[in-house]
Amino acid sequence: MPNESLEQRCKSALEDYRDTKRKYLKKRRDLSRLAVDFLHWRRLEAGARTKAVEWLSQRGLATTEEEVDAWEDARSAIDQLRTERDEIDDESREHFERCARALSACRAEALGTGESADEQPVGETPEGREPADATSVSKETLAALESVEAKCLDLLKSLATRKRYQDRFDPLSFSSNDAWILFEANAREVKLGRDARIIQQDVYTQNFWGLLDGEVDVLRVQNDGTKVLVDTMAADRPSPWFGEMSALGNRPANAEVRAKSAATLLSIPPPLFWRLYDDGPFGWFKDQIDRTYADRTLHSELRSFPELHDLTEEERRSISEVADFVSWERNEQIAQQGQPADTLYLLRSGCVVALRRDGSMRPHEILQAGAAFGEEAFSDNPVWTYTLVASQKTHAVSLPVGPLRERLAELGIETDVETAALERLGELQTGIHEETSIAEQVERLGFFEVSDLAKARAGLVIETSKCTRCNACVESCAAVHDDGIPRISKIGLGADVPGIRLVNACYHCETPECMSACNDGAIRRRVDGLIDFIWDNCTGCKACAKACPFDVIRIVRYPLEDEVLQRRELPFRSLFETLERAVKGPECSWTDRLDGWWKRHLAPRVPDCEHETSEYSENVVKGLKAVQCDHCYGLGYQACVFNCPCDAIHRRTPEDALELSERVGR
Amino acid sequence: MNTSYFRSRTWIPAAILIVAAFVVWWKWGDVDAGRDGANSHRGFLLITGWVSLGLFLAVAAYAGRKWFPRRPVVTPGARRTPFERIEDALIELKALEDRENRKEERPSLSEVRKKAATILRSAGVWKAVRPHVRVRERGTGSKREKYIAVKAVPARRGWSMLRWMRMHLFLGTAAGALVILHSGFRGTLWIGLLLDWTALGAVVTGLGGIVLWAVWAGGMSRAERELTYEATRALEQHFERNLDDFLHPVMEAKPQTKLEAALESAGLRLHVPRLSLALKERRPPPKKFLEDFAAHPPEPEVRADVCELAEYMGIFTALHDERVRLQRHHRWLQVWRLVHVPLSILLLFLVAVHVISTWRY
Repeated sequence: MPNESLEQRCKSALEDYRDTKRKYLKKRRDLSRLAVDFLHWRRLEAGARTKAVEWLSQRGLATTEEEVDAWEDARSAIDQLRTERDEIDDESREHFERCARALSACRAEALGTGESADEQPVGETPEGREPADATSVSKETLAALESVEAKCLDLLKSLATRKRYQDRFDPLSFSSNDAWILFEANAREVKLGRDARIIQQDVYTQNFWGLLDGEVDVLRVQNDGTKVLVDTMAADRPSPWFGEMSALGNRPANAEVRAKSAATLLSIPPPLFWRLYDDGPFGWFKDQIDRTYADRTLHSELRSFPELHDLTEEERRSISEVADFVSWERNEQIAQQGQPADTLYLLRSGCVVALRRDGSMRPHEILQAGAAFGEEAFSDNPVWTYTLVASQKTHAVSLPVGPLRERLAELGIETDVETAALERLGELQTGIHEETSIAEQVERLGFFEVSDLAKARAGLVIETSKCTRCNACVESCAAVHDDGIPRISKIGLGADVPGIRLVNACYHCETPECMSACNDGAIRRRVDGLIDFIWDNCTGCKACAKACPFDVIRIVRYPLEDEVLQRRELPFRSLFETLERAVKGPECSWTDRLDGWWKRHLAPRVPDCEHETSEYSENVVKGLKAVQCDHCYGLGYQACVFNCPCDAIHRRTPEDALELSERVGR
Repeated sequence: MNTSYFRSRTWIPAAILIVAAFVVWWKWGDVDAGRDGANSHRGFLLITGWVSLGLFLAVAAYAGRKWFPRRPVVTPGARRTPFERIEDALIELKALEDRENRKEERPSLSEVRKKAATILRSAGVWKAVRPHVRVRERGTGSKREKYIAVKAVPARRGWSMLRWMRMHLFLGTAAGALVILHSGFRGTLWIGLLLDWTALGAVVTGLGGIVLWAVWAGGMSRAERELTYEATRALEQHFERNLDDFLHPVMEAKPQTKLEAALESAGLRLHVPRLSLALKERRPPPKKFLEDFAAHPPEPEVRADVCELAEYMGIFTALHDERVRLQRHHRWLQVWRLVHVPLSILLLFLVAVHVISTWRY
């Protein structure tokens, strides 16, 4: 029979921990929300101001309107919040330490070691001890004690990490518990010597960097190769971080960053960046990043609005003050045809499909990063002429037309902007945009809609009227990879694209969802924008395969020696089989024997794998690895294309694939 | 029709030149084809013989090349250039592209290509990638502008499979023509006759193969082109499972099921064992079932179930037919290969015997 008193104490310790954690998380969440509200309050948003006033009055910091106004410098209020955050953390740390001791003592007692709570130091568990009286507590309680104690110790460790980073790197000040757990697993502290290059201009980069210590120079490489100093960042100055533009827009870096002195940096890989950025109600990180983004680059990005292209730098900087950032989830409707339009949008990343109701709803245009929409807001009848839907997670800059008009009126350039916007709208509506007819555009967009190819950079397509199904593409793909696993499959994506088949092979998306899903840093973007897998980091968790919209990532058991050897079969085996069938009947024993002899004595053996199993990280799931098409990088040719005897398989961008389909699919 | 095979700027002129040269010699050089002709010319015989032998060997090398990519000889270990070096070179190329596009006066493409080549050579990645310089457009609407795009593309060392295929086609045809000029079909010994007819057979089956390869894929219906054998089989299996789900309770359950009752009421109960057997043997369902189904519509309350069953049966039948058609096409290709490949092997063997015997005796 379980010892009821001990059982009760164990349950009470468990409940105490859970209660402490619940309270701690709630306090942190409230604090984070308040911090974000304060930022909004600073921007004079009415709702947020009410909350902030409440907060001030609750704490007796401000009760009258005058006193509240004195709090207008939100920085000091946020400093107060930081102090409160540290107090909460310290207080909770003590609570958690107490909980850990209680849990540890209960477990020790349940296992029969008899150590009291005071004797059991925090962080040490009586591993490997067998319970003296196995019936002292129930098995469920014992299991719960073990797991909760481990969690409690993890949380204590995490609190120590938070204390270390949240003051040194401001965007992390009010992050959620989940984000911190991911942070501990993925963020890296990097120490660099003087003059070390951190980011190279004009190439794809992926990490977001925080400067913890030292100074870095931001340089712009000129036409003649000379470098001009744009900015110097230091850890003790405001906004000591960089790489947010590439991380947000999935585009190449627009400047070079070098360490001016010995520097300590915080490297945040893309999945962690996106987790911190989309942190639900904990919007502090997002707010900080967006604010820096707006300060540093928004004014130059506004050049992408054709209407604002010809303005001066100062005029654009002035306009950027009325701009804001918006995000939409996949398949979220942005605007509806016929509804009032009052905002101009500039796409930062992602993809938007413009649909138009002409009897039935039809796709009219695909908008990608850099595109602008919403010119209707300038017209006499400001209603949306399209229904706009985000086809993936999409981020944009919004320019409300009302404040924009006011700002333009101040600048005295209202007429030019409106005229340009209306001209562009007219082009779109009458179908003379890019000198193609509406019918052609719909056909073109119908293709993108069905094939989902708008996200892709380069895909493999097979001309179905040329392919004789000889399978040379798949076999040669398998042959040129060390593991003997083909990266392509001819089954195709099932899209209704006349004349061509979209092969299941990596499409190297503009916004790679696999890369965002990978929490182990096993997927990176190469400098030319293609997607590459780093096998040493892959744990076989399958997150990338689930996130891939094209279903082209395969999870395989690696190394595959047996299977690989089976692949090296007898040359002309089918010929031997047919001959044997003709002579002997359906059984192919002679061919099998010949094949076995061939494999034992003549078949070339597979070269040793580059990656030894011992080099994998500890949490590798039984040697499972993700593989995808790597363009046969460094080989000198793409094996499938190079070895097709029918000229049927090609690597194409979506536009080229469309042209091919139009040419051969009639 | 796949015209890619015939778009060769190297092998078509080469084949025409070779054949034309010998035809001119034969026609206007007062030379008879074959050894026993009145005007037999030893030099003509020897040269046509050796040239056709050379052509046959070149043609046979295609088979080796076809097998070659499937050997681990071409695995990355042998030729792969380190990623880091390629990435550094790509960075340099991007810088070059920016520099060239920022110039007020647009440089010539060849000039840019030379600079790009220098970068790739100095980076030590020339084996793996080559520069690809083109004028492209970017931007939209009135802001559309032309720019010079500098990319690195795979170096493609050696010939692609298509190039080998074209060589095989045209030199093979030229070799056939030379054999006719060489022998004149005047052989009296069995070896000569055999050689003549084998060569003719190999060339004619080869020409048939050209037609088969170039026309067959293009001649298929759209549905046939869209579905691969693998996809068809996967779909077929899917519907097979669905049908099994339908029929299994009817076959196994002792109390009468709703569907069984429906089939019975429609007079289709007797078909169930046959349907099951057809599925097991991967045959299409009996036509009688569909006819009876059309003739006796089931009761309204179970119509949906039976309609679903019939729909599955219809799809299954269509997929099965599709797979059979694809199999038939594959069989034709296999039959063609079974004729052409052994004939070619025999031809090479006989040519070797012929060369040795002629030389020795």
